[in-house]
Amino acid sequence: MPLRQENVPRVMVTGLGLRTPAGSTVNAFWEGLLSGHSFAAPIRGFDTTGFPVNFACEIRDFEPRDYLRQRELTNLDRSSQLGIAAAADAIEDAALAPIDSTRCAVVAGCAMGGLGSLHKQVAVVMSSGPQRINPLAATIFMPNATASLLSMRFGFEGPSLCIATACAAGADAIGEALGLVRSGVADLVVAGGAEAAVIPATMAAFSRLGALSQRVDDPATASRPYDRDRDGFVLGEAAAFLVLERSDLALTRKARIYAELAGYGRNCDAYHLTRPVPGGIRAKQCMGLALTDAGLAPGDVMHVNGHGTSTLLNDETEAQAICALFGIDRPPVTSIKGAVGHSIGAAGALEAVATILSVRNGLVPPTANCRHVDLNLDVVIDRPRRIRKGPGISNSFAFGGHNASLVFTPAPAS
Amino acid sequence: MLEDKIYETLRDALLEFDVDPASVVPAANLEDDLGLDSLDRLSAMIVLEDRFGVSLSGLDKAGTVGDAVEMVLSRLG
Repeated sequence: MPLRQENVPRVMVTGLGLRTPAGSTVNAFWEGLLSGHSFAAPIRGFDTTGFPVNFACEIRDFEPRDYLRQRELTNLDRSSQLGIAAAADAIEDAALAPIDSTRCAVVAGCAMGGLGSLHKQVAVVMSSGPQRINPLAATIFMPNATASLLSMRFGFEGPSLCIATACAAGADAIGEALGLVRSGVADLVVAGGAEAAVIPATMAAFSRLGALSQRVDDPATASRPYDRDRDGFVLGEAAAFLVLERSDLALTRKARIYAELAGYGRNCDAYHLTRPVPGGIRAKQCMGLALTDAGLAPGDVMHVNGHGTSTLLNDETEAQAICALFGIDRPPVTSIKGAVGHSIGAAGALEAVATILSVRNGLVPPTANCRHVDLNLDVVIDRPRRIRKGPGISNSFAFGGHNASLVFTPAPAS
Repeated sequence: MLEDKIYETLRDALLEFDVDPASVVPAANLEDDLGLDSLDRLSAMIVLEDRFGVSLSGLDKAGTVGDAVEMVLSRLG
């Protein structure tokens, strides 16, 4: 594993934008996390008759007309609409100076992309024949649609990539963006993820797989990462994007810097499509890779933003990995999935935002609904916990065994 | 009158493409004046086929609003 090299550019986070079940602004999202509230509720987006699991974390207040024209509403999948809104907010938040557009890039993560739209177009083909399909159907459901749309909207002519590593996609998108700046290919990258996963196909699939919580009588308490009585995850929708800038450029223009993106680690369990390798050995190594990449040791970490899906297997395996890496001096752990559910391809990006805010504010939000921890972990529960200024690590351990960890450190003192 | 109905339906359908109804006049060029590119015209054709219940193939090649309305009239007649 190559050690951190000299003369490699550092990368700062200078803009944030998001759409979440807890709110459409960074402040609303942060307040929602601090409150310990869970945003799971019965699904309104489609008729759930016959669906064994009928609740999720939906975004209720999305107003796409603030960002998109009518034809874009017709011809963009909801995941792309969410992604555009979040990324546009992030760019505005960064208040950029004029920049060489050929050195600006987009990396967007998703797991299912335009699956909701694909579902609708397939229904049209089946009922009315292939000629009735929307002529733009291919552009609506192709997974790269969001990346392409963002590049167009911002006029970014550098690399435009889509990463699709399931629950790690959002984190991998940010990690790849770090690589683009470090390698000298880009000076600025809009990176994150967008997913509109609360659709019939996805709800049916994850429910049938046995991955979802069945707590239909009390949806608000269903998502309870690391809790003794957890029984599966709650699906959610979200979009979250960061503006990542080469450090010297951000400092020169006196940008407001939220935090530094200091390290990225990724590996694969190479074990099973849904189950993590027992003992979490690869997840432990993944966190280690991210810390090494950041030039840090486990003892430097002030908090962990966990993958914490609220499934029996992930949470147990993640706990083993964290124990093995950090030992008795383990940092406090939280998972925002208790509050906003699991937004699959967007989760890693949304959790990156939460990690950045924790590092910046010295505060870790409680894990919603977590009451009794039967794992060897110091989970933040009941109320937010103050932490000392220092690095935070965000984990994503995905279906398929794709592991990704991001390390954020405090913004340099000006 | 059938022609009026066609214009009305066309104006309504083109709302989905951000076209101002007031600009849907016979001489308006679909691409240059109303900003509909080839894919937009194809989509509009399908929408109109659904509204009128007849095949309008070739409608996407029409040049002006007037040409399009003529084509619909001849298919319906």
